[in-house]
Amino acid sequence: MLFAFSLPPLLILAIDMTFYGGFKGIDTGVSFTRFANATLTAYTLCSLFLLGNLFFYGESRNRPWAPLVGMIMATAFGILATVFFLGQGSMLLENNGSVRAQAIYNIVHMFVSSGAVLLAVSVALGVTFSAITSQKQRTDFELEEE
Amino acid sequence: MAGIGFVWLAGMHWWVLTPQLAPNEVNPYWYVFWPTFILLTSCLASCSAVTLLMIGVERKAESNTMFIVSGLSFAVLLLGLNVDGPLVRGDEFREHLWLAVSDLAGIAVGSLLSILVFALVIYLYERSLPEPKTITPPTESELKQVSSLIASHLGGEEE
Repeated sequence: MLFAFSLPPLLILAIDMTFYGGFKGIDTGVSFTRFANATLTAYTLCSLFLLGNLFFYGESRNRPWAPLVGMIMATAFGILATVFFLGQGSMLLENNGSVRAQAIYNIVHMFVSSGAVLLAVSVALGVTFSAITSQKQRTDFELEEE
Repeated sequence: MAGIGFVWLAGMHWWVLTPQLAPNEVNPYWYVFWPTFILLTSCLASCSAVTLLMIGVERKAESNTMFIVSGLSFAVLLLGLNVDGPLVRGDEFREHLWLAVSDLAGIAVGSLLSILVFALVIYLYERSLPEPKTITPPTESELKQVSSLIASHLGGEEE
């Protein structure tokens, strides 16, 4: 299943290697920068979302402070790591002049990517279930029907 | 409806519907959305098709439908890589396609890391909680009393 998931990009790589004799259009430096920015932003935003979930977890535990503080620290670590790495010169800056501009760009970029991911998941799930439910209804009791 | 949506999105690549910030300047976020969406649709449909074959029972027809969806998305990807639109060139699309792959990998790694940290925080907290108080086992006399009570409520008069 994992292979099936990664098949389309692998096929494109194979086609590129066959017809162009190499990895056309891949700039490893830019790709790494995007990967690092996406990782840091996804970690921070997802931690913030899970921090909100801890509030509901606390309802069944007399609202303990320990896990909340732990998760706040984990989220703060993500924010600090983002600011620290963005501040290391041009390593993670993508056509942006300052740390703040890059951070805001990362967040907006993440929302657009998440929108694309959600839409793709909706399309794939929707088509799968419509394909399943549009088939003729099956029965396991053929003898009873007769 | 999904087909119309796909045609509309294709029109945003190869026709006059491309989102622009200024005349002849493509909205940079379109380059983020479009390759990510089309690539992930192809990947998920392919995964869904194989899952239906492996887990489902007699799901070959449904699996074929998903293979067709995956193939169509992949064909759109290949067209995007090789056929220029009025504003979007194939080379630009190729560059942003690999950025989309990096982006998706980054999102997956970042999300998994935060979920791991979340699980670790809850695990450490739950492990630090004291053991719940246990009650002493019933004594012999209590067991006898219970068994006599149960016996008096079970069975019935023989007819």
